[in-house]
Amino acid sequence: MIVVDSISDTFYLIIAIIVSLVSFGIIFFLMPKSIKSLNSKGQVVKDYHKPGKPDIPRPAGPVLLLGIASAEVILYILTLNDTVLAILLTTVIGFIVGIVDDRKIMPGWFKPLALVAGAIPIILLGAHGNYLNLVFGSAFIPILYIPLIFVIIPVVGNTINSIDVLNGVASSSVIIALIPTLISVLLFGNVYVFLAGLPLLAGTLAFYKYHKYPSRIFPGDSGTLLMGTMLGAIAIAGKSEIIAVIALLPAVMNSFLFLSSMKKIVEHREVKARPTMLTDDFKLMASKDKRAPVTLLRLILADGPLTEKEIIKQVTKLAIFCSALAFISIYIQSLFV
Amino acid sequence: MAILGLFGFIVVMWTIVLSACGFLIIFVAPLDSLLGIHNRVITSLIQALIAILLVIGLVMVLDRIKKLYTLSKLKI
Repeated sequence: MIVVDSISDTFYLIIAIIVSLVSFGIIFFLMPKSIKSLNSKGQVVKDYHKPGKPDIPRPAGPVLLLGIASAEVILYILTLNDTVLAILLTTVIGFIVGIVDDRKIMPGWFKPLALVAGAIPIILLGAHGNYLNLVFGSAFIPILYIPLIFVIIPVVGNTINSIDVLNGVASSSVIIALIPTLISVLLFGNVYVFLAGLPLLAGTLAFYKYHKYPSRIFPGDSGTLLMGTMLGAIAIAGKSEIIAVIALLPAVMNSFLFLSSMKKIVEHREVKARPTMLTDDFKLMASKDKRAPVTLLRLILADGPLTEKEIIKQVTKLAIFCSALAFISIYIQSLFV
Repeated sequence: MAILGLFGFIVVMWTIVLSACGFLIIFVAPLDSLLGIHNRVITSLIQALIAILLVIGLVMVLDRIKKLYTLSKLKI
């Protein structure tokens, strides 16, 4: 039995290395080509927070999908696990919704509504459980769990999308949140979901090299929704929904602040009064306009103007703090399992 | 320091999330045995109703905290 266990452990370790390397390698080596290609096609947007407002290519979503999906296909061939297929399909749906929004300006309701479709593969392939892990125990909710999936996927997708306001913030938030989430998946979920989560971690790490300040490429809606829906699918399939919510609290907080200010779902570009303003020396400052929505960025700037780099540091500190809270929550949950 | 206030805000949110989890585990999850109802559909409907009310309540509490926090920080 010990021999069988060590063989399966070695098998999982080899798969983990393969899928991580495939995802990391494809994204790391293809992203410069994508940057060049997008630049030559004129698929660029202005980076308004920098002097001279440079043109930055967008979206990185297609290369992210290629890297992550290739790794997931290999994982599926090696394991023939339906949960892996469900996570892959949900990710592809998130990407498709995002690429539509990247190509054509869609109304505010489009993304949340279209992302509901991302829940379908999880339900049809039975990737979800009947128990919801609630830190102090788990609740048996076989009927209630299905509508919950239709809520989780659009919410997580849009949450990551809404935090994509400064260079590297969306990708670093996903990386930092994924660490406790994947450990929770390994402890409370199953090894296949953990393996399926590794391409997202490795791929986002590779992408971060190009997305960090100063960004050489932006993820676009296709990139952020892909990362968000995949994270949501991993949390559901890996029985780590609450841990993922805690790890993502800065992004959750940002969405909550925005929605509770606006009282409806709107695109950021539709907001009349901006929450922040740019000073002459290219620092960001909080708006004093009462009509402007409250956002995480606006609250960080409450004490005075900061440079983009300084704000990114503050957001990273918040993300690491939430990751620590997620680890404490994992410890509490381990006492009740 | 705005960041310290935000750490506090996050701790409040975390505490609220954990409190809601505790409430759901103690009172809502074992509802069928607490009320003696053995119909899964009826139990699920009651559980859903309580969970929705709980979420609405939490959002209202958080909205109140947000307003107080925003008022003190942004002076608007």
